[in-house]
Amino acid sequence: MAAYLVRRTLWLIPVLLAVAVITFVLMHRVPGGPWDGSRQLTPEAQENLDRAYGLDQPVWEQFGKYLLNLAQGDLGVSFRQRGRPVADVLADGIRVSATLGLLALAVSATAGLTLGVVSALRRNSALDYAAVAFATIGGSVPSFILGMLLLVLFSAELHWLPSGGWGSPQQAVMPVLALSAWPAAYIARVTRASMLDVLGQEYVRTARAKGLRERAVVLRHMLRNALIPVLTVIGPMAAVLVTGSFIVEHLFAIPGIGRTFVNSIGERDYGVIMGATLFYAFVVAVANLAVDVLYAVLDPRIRYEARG
Amino acid sequence: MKRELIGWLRPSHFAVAMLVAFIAAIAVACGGDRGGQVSDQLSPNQEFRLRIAGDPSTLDPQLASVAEEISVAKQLFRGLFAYDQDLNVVPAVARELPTKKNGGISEDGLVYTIPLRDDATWSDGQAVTAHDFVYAFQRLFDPEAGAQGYYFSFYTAIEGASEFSAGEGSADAIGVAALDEYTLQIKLTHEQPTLPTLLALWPASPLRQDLIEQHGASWTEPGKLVGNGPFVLKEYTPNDRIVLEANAGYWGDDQPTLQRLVYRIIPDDSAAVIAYENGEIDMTQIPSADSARFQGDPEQVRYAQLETYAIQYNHAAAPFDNALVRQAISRAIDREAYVTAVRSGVGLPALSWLPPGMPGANGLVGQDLGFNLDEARRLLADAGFPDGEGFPAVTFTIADRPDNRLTAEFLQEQLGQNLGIEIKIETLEEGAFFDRYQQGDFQVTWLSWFADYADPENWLPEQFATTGGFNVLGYSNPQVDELLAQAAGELDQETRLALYDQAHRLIIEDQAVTPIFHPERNYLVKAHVSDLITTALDAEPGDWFVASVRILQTGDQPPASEPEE
Repeated sequence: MAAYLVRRTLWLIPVLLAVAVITFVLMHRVPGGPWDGSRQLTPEAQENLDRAYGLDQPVWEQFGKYLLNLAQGDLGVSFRQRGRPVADVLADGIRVSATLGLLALAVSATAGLTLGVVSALRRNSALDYAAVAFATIGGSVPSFILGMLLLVLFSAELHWLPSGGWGSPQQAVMPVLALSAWPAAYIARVTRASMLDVLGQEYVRTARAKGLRERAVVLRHMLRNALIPVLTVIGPMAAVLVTGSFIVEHLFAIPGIGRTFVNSIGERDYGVIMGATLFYAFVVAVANLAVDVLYAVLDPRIRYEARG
Repeated sequence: MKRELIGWLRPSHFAVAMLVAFIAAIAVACGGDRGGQVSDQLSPNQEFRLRIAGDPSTLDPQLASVAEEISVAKQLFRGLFAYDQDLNVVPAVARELPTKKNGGISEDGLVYTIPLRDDATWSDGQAVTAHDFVYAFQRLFDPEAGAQGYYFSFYTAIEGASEFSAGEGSADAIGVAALDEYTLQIKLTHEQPTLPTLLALWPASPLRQDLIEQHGASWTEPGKLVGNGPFVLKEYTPNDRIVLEANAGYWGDDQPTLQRLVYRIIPDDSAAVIAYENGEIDMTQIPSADSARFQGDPEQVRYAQLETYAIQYNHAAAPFDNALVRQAISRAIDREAYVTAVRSGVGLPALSWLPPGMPGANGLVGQDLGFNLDEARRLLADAGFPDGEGFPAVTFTIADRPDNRLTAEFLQEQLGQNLGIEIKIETLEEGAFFDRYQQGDFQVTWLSWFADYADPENWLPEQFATTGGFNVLGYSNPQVDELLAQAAGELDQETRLALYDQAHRLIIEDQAVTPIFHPERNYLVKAHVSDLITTALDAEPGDWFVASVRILQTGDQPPASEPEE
């Protein structure tokens, strides 16, 4: 297992390098630059800025310098927020988005698993139909619409919750709900299907036959095995949730990384685009690794040993 | 940004959209709370809560170039001059306006000697001196400082500025000098009658050399930023909020009543309206979609601004190199219908480039090129395309924004129906659009110009002179060039404006661009916000005179328990 972990971790380096190359090239190929806007700079001012930020050098040279700095943990500076370190620009947003994402993950995993298990055990009951209805609606309403609905209801009409911002628990309620609806519905669907699959397995019959209490059968034998497909889904989902949703952050005025990233692309803020993309790639890779490790923990049949 | 949101509204979500509309309709029917009665007494809580749509990339006054940056930076700094409510230049740090009579302007108009107040202070208590202005201008022109923004080019009439910026001169050779602690001298290479107006803008604010050199790029952070304006920076959470507090030691005559200014950064227009209705902010823009709902609302504040949207042509190639074609287009567009259909009735139809309210703007310019179908068809036939026959396929290139798309579709329909001209719409992502625009790589496009300062100098020479810095259209008329050159150095205000008026007339006769409408600001402002003074030059409503705003007591709040002062 340890050798496997080391090998997988080392693989991160070429993966991130590839992401860096592709992003750097694409970003410079896209027309427009960080100084463009509705107000045009004089060519002279533009040259001065290019020089100050190294944009007057060939792209490969810029990339070489970027990699050298990156190797020393320096993400460079923002082009729009003239000279502000990218690490600073990203740090606050990452913390906010990760908090929001983890809350949403907790809510959607709890709600999704509960609904999925209950509706599988009470198949074709009213409860099951209600859960399936929720899964269908929750899975098809986009977060933007759901978020707007919540805003109109809880802020504009009832005046119960603040419409946006970040910092207090009240401010987290609506964004967490808007963000969790789809993942909760998805987890519920996968859990239900997976539980139904396990329900008919022989080891479940054996467990019942040897007189285990139903609770133990469900939790220890059924759920543990039914969780494997669910985990496959939750891994990438976690990566998506903690890296921030532009839509939800835009709607609820949340100072998260999703908004920073999308805005940086529109503004051609090369430093921030690179930093954010590498961060995303890193999170996705780590989430996948975590899922693979969890497989082995849950299913004794899965082992990561050196072959031969 | 908007595009992605709309991408979510796929047809399969139609039912959901209907549901939202239904709930929204109920919400409207129930009617929003309108707060309690407003008294004429001051509230004990003098806090003004504003909304800005984006995070300011910078609070550095030399770099501030978009509304939210300008609006905040203006509160933190005061330059030599400021504006009064009618946008006349008045002294701020300067003791008086320089004129030839008082010796402030030399006979040849090239040397300005400006006496400064000796009681102006920075927010850390130090005196504001002429040296702070000298440093600010040296930094503005320094090619290495990375401090050059859009506005830097406004000040290149100053001696040595262009040379230093081009890497050929030096900071010491710039024509801005401190004759003593409280006397500033500015030398120009050519006459610029608008210099005092330009010196009233935020990029000409004084700056603290010691602090900027000590802190580097982080000098604008709370705790580090020292300004000389009526407010000081207290708190800044990127993408969330900016809090300013009244500067206790403020030296100016415009002492603020407000204790705090809170700028909430809310990117979504509709969410901002909800925040307003929920009592979280005191002022917000009314999105176009909501304008019918708030029309005539007692909290609505609507006023004209100095901005013009126009169809812009590439004059270098057929068919738009032909003035008859451009005139035909102007005559074929029903601007009243445009304002109603596309802008929900908010805005004024435009026939002239200079907007009403601009000094030198003449209401008669363009009146003979308004909507008239017979004339439009005659002009197009004269140009060689009777009933649009033989008119080449043309592409209308726009930046991808919802209102631009609606505009393009409206114009496409009008020109198709009225002239028989077929137009293809090409939509580009904003960054890509400006890249193409600045290279002149388009046939016909759609853009606005808004005033940086209220003078035709900001609207005509750079855009329409053959050698103008922003003349990407390739428009060239020697007569216009001649008039603009004369106006540039004319010190007599009346003669100067008359010269601009003549140039403007020719530009519109040529239909160098085809003006379509002047936008208006359309805002909601809570009844307890009193003395909000708006001008046609606001970046955000009232931002030149925030210091005058007072917050009144409302019925909702318990009256102040403290005895009256």
